Amino acid sequence: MTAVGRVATRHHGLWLLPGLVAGLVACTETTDAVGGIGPAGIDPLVPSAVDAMVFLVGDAGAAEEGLSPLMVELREDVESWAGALPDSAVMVVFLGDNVYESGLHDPGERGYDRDTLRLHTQVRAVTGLQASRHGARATFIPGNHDWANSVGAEGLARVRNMEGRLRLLAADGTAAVGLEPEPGTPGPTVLDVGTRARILALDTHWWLSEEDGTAKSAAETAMADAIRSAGQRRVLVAAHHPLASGGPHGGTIPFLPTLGIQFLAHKGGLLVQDMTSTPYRELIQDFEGVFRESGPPLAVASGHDHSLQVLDVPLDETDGYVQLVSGAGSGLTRVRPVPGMAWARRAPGYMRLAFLTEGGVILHVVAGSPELVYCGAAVQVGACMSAGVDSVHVVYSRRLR
Amino acid sequence: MGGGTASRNGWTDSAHSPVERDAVPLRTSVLLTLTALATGPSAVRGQGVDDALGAALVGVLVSVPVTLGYSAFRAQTGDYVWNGRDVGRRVAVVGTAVVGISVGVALASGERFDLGDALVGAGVGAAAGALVGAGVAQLTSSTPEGRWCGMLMGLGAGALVGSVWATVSGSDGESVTAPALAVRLPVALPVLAR
Repeated sequence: MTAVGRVATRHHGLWLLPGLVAGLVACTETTDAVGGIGPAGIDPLVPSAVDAMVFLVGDAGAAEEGLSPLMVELREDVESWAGALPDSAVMVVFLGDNVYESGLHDPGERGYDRDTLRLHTQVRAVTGLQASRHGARATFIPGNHDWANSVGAEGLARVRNMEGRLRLLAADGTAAVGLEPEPGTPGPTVLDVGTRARILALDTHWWLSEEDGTAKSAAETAMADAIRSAGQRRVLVAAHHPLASGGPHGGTIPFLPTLGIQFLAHKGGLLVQDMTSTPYRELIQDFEGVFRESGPPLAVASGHDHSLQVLDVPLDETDGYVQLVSGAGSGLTRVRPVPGMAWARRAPGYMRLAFLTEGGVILHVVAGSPELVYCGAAVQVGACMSAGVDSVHVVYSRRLR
Repeated sequence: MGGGTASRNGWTDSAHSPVERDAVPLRTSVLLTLTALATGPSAVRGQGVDDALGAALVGVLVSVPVTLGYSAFRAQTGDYVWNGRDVGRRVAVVGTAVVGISVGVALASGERFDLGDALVGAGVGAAAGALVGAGVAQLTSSTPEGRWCGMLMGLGAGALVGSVWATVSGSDGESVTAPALAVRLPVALPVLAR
């Protein structure tokens, strides 16, 4: 079967039956889902019309080789598209929290072997034959867990460990992988894919911990410049922390499990990783200030909350951006409707953005069964993996602006 | 641009070293020892173990809102909760201090400890403190988070003051422990103000 043919069959007949996908979604909606399939009449994805394909996977740091159906499906998906598109037209962006619970430890430290396994599980997304042959790349962006949920030397050392490990894998030819931006710096690192896509990789954990306003201003200026200079490329800002979310970090916190303590701590803005904390609110204000100055990007892609969400965020009466939350790489948390939410689901999955040659961009959300996010506890791991992989489908699609 | 050298917590790389963390259990041990020394003589006054246990239970319950209020105060000064260790450290220090205060006050009162009185006092104090805190924050803060923080600080302070007040007042309403409190509270307050 040709590569293009494999894309067609493995990926659910994307240009054959959009209605079938709609029916599938209707059958698999959960109580933690918002919205439906999105506008009807989405153009089918024909590989010859695609200039670049960007995969967005977040918070996959607990996925382990052979126990994560999603990672198997992701690798196959990357293989298919890498084989179908021109060289170097496929990029996988891991949106932070790439190694749970506290980043990549030093060699010899307790947890190092497990940490390494978890990182390599994600690296495998671009080690397949087609991916290697056609230059598919994976970029890892640090999240708060990669910083060991901390600041200062300890957290920075964990990020440097990850960067070093990825550099080794790239140097020995295992995979085209890397960590962006450089450890301890905010970014943006500009990553151009094909002729139509520009990704700005940012370390938003740095933003939450940094008090040096000059350093922040410099990064914001660089971000604005990168957006303005994109030309015909559509800009995707990739950062771990979302600027809007209906997940726990955005305020969807159940009262009872912690007897209201977490709820009160969130409301009071005590938890720096929640949107109610002052540093996080400043981060949102800073980014949106840049967007107002430079013009908004096509979308902001993030993880942090362990769900799949598509939100339309207004900047003013006429302008806005799309917030994509793709943080369901290895765990799930609840999601509830918030203003601007177009679609959301609590399910393991990832997103992919097809940057079309004619300039448009099509979003596909790929998700599986929530019960099959992890097969480590299954009695029959093989059966769980098979069922998990079979459950993964395109569940939402939409043309972005 | 060096991340981590100027942090929102004011931590420098060296100040965030494991040495700083190791000092926390030490502080807790010192506090426990001081509390034991301060309350030891009270046992001679004929109070039983059940008085101390009851007071400790109240201390544990009261330490929840106090820790929340303390964390709210720290957040207002730019020191946020980053991880579970931050929570653990605050519980270890603040919780221990509050339990110490509770036991110390109960034993120093020289009367039988009344669990119900202490809990009612804590509850009434928490409610009143939260109301006052919310009111003050309404006037002084322009953000929803600031107003919640004000309420939490009032909640914690009210719970602590209410439980202590109910304990020292006793069922006959007499306050008998002012001198004892004057000795014991300064032991705990520096730790609370850490």
